[in-house]
Amino acid sequence: MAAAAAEATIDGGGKMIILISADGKRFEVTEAVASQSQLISNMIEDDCTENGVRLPNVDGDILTMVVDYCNMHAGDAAADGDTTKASSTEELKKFDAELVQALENPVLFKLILAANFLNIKSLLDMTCQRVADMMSGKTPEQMRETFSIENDFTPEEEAAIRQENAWAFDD
Amino acid sequence: MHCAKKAKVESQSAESLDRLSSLPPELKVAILSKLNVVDAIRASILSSAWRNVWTTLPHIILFDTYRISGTLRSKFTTLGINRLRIQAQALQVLEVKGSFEDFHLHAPNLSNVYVTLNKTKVADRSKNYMMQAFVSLTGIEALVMKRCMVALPQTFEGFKRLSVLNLKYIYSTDAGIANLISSCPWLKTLHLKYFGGISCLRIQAPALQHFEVQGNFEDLHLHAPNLLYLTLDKTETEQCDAVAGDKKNYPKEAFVSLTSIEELSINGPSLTYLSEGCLLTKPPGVLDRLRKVLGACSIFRNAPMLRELEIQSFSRPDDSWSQPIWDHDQTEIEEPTLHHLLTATITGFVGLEYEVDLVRLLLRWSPALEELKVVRDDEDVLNDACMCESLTKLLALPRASTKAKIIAI
Repeated sequence: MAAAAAEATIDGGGKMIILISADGKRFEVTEAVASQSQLISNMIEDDCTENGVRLPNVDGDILTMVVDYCNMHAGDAAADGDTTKASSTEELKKFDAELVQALENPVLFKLILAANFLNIKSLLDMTCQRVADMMSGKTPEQMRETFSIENDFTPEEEAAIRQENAWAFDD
Repeated sequence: MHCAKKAKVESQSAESLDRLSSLPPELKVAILSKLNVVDAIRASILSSAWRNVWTTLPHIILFDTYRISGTLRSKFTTLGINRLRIQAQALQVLEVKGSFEDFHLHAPNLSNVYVTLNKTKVADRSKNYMMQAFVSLTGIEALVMKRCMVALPQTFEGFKRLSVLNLKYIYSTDAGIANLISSCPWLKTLHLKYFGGISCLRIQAPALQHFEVQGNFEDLHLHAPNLLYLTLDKTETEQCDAVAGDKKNYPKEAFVSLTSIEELSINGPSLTYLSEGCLLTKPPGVLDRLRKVLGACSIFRNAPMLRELEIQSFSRPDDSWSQPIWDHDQTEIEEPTLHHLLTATITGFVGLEYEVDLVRLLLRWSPALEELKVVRDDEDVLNDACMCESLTKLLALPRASTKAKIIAI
């Protein structure tokens, strides 16, 4: 992390800012890294990052993952024309795939909420895609089991909903 | 009670585990939009939290590969603007509610279509898309549309098999609605309620049997020789100028062709309106109510097959109590004979003189009458003595039919 930050500074990433998680953990990142969050990017524009950015919705362990992700992806926007891009793209893919594969309930959903709150589109897309992949091709019963969803319909209600679009439930 | 409590406790404990369902709606939609539409629809039975999420997807594309057949019924809520594309050979019934920015439909075997658009400005551009989407469906048999604009493109070939058309809260033009109706040669049932932009309603429908119209219009051209049931309710309350200009001819035309009519239901304002055109002679200084009776007389004469009649009396006792309803001009009016009238009902009866007069006429004109029912108005009953007197008069009236019973409720 320190190496990435130093690199960013050399690249002209500029000032460092402090992110503070809900449980008080502090993360020092460059503006370039932090700007991947649209929320923080707006705050930087408005000059409200002087005393650190408090993120009361995000726990430290989740923010660690977010910062790791952002550090890995900080080159994305800045490194156009970089000769090492091809390999780094591959590295990124591998990193993303490993990150996403490792995600399970409930961390996955905490990360989705954090990505949504911080407004990091690529991370949100990736995590939502992970959930979609976990739902895809499953029967409703299997979906309920995977995500511990309690069926609060009466059998009659459920039958009525199935009837509405019966073709979608034909197996 | 006990069960409900238990369920609540369980759902609370489940809630802590079920983080997926507690995501905010926009994230649920974001996830479903990454699924294929069938999985997204299947998610509707996961739990009540997922019931309608798929209908808020911004783009819904349904293709034949999903084996859509039978019925598709959905209420598309308005979180985002929906783009709906449906391409389904086997789809027969489509029922959608929502507001659509873009709607493409290719479903040649569709027979019944029910569309309700959300309340937005009626002249909204998107409403045109709706009609455009349906005009290619020449095979549909029933079309129910609410809150849309009826404007047909030049290329419209007609709904060749449409038998039921129900339009509510629509906006159209004289030509638009006339064009639509006349392009449906098999139209049997037509409901037209609450519309704008139509002043002269031209209905040319050779197969029409059941017609209900409720709304504001000035003139009515009705050519429907097979009409059996007609309900006319003109919501406009302002008084039309009696026998003013050419307009007097329209309603007369309207009813000439109705030789098969069996059931006719007309409310107060319409009755006044009709009477103005149906008059044979201009009555000298008549009262509103007199015109109503004359109008009715004219309608009866033009409807010799009438079997069932229901009249609702809207009376204002204070201004009419002692005024005569039928003056010497009645001799100028050719009295009709209602050979087929079997039952007549007068609701809202309060015992006024003109009401008794109307009953007298009905009894005199109807040789086949079996039952004449007088339903008293509960809210507006005059004193009992008056009512008693009126009922006594009623029972003493001469009857053209020997079978005629008079029932007072």
